Amino acid sequence: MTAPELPEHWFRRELGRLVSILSRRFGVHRMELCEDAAQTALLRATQSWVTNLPEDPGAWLYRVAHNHVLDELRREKRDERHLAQVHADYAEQEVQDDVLRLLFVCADPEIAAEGQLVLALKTLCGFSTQEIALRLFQSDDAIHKRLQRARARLREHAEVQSMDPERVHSVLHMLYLLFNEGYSSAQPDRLIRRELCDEALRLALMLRNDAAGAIPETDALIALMSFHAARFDARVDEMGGLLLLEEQDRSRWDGELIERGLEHLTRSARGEILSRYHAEAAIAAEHCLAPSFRATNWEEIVRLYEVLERVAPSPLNVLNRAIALAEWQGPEAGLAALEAIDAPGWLRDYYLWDATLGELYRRRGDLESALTHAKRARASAPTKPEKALLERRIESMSKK
Amino acid sequence: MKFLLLYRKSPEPREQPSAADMQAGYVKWKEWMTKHSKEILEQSPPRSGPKPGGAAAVCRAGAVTDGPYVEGKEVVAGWSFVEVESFGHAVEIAKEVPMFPSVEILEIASF
Repeated sequence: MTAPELPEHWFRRELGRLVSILSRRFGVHRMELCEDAAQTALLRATQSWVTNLPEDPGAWLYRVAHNHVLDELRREKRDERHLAQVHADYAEQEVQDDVLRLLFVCADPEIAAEGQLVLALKTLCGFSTQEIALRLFQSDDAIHKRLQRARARLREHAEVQSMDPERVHSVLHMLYLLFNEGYSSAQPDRLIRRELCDEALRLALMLRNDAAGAIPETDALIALMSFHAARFDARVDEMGGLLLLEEQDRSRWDGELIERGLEHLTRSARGEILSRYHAEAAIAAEHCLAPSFRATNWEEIVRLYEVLERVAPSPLNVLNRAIALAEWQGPEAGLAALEAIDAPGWLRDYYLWDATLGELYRRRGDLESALTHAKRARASAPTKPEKALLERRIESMSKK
Repeated sequence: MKFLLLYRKSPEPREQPSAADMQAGYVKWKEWMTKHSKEILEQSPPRSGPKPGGAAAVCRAGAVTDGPYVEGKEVVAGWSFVEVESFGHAVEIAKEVPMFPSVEILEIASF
């Protein structure tokens, strides 16, 4: 009785694949039934494979799930005509296509961005409602409602469920949000946040391999994700405390991911389009390639933030540019850049605004202003590790 | 003595195990089946049915009672057959069944 080991997240991946292939064959309007069938097949596998692993596990699962859908439909006593056309065969290449198709279905512009994320996490990444709620910091009920709304839209608009090439930008944006949710969310559990980043990268790579997704922006997004993911674990010390970029041990950055990032960044440099993903990936590349914090090419980073501001304007770019400017030309230049902008109220209340001002005043030697801003930043910092980091800075200033 | 262990679960979508639960469940099934490999029958006994007057019980969350056998809308999710020397032993094995909220234990006999 030797049971095979199944790789980590195997069940989640298979769930996504099964839902994709079933939804294509039976229609996205039956997505819930397809999810139920996929669930049933996997549950059966947990018991029966322990003694007997089928020769082709993917095909076995598909057959069981497929039969489950057929049984349910027969019970409804309709669609007999349609059923005759549905085949029970299973081809690996087709499955890849089906997963992508479902990714495009999720990126329906009529579904709110949050709803798209939830739908993709549920159907493609195999997360349960509770698991999604935990990851997106929302209640089970809120997630459940978003899912219901998204599914209602899909049920009623079966006609727009083709793989519309126009949607590729929505798909990219959704993957970008998914990645950021994992990379920057306030969720304290690092492992489960890392999972969101890995899923976003996995789906982006899959998109890149398809003709519909092989556009320069996809490469730029993959580069961006790779550069950030490479630094994921080095951002915290052994105690789980946050480390500044300056303090990070660069030997802990993942060289393989950086290389993959560079490869895709090179590939992204074709055609006329310069997207926000290009600009953000180029900034991340500068950081990843710098041998040390001091040896970073701050001049180039300042320039790239200006490029980013042109393609995707946001006051946050101005803030980030001021930080880079201060590294390049000194704290006076950074402070001058911040004073020059008409910062909106939300930005002035944002903890990074105060944290940046505090740091720049400290470097200029104005400890009083530095402490005022650092304390304001500490008060509005959203997570414990960030509060702890700011506390550490305040303490070091108070000692002097 | 031969027993049927019948697993039931809730049909409610939000109470289904998640993919992560199933991955963990697969490992637990492996452990459970390895541990009781001597008692679990590899094949279903042919031409069998409930033994008249035979022993029966239901195990929910570790608590063993003589009913009710079905709670609300529970549906059958799977089964196993075991051959043991006593009813108590069958109950012990049933208590360790992973993943399912309810396991019914029913003594069977071949005709």
